[in-house]
Amino acid sequence: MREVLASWSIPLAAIIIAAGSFVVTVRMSVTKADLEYAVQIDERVQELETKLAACEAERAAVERKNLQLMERLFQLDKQSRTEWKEISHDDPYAVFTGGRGNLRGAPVP
Amino acid sequence: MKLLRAAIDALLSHGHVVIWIAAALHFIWAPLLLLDDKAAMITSIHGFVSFVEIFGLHLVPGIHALILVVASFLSLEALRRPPSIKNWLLVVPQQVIVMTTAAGGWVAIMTGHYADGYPAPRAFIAADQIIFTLVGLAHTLAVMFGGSRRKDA
Repeated sequence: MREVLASWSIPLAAIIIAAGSFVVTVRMSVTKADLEYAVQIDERVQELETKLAACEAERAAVERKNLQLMERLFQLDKQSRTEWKEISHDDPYAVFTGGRGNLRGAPVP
Repeated sequence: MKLLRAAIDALLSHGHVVIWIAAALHFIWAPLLLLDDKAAMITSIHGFVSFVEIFGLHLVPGIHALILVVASFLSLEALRRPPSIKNWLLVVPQQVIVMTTAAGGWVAIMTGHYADGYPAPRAFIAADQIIFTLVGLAHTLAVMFGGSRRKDA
């Protein structure tokens, strides 16, 4: 038995087994990995395209809402200017007195 | 050079440790594969799974875990028994498994992405997966010379 173990038959067989299983696995896996990766990339692209479409729709909705709010803001600003003009009677200090008179307490026409 | 020679000598003298570590790793992988099939997408395990597919056994439920456990058990049994051709054959299944896991790492390096499709720089994958190649080489050396060294010891 010592002679068998001392010979190169076992080391050689071990090398052949190791190299064989390694090479076979690499050859099998490389093609398979590329195919799987291609499928995964396609799925990922489709998923991202769906997300992109949803984001585009959301962006358009937000832009519409933003435009409505801007118009509303413009109207309110215009309205507040008109109302303030009526309250203040063109008195620059009316902002401090609430439109009831100037800073010295003198009534404003 | 002396350091390298001493390292190789130490590896050959204590080759059974590598076999034990590989067996422990496979014993741990087996229940994880049973718990969740997605564990098979781990790059190193995927190499082994691809190898099993060659024989068409991958369709049998739990076959990967079973093979891992049986191979680990056989290799540990080989460590327990005195060196002989018959006992040496007990380590062969685990030898094949460690080389297929090493191959899984190299496939990831060559294709530039992990088995689950995560792309990464090749150097990144190599740094991550090279341990399985080292274990495979150490296991091969242990299988080549471990028996005679143990007998000599």
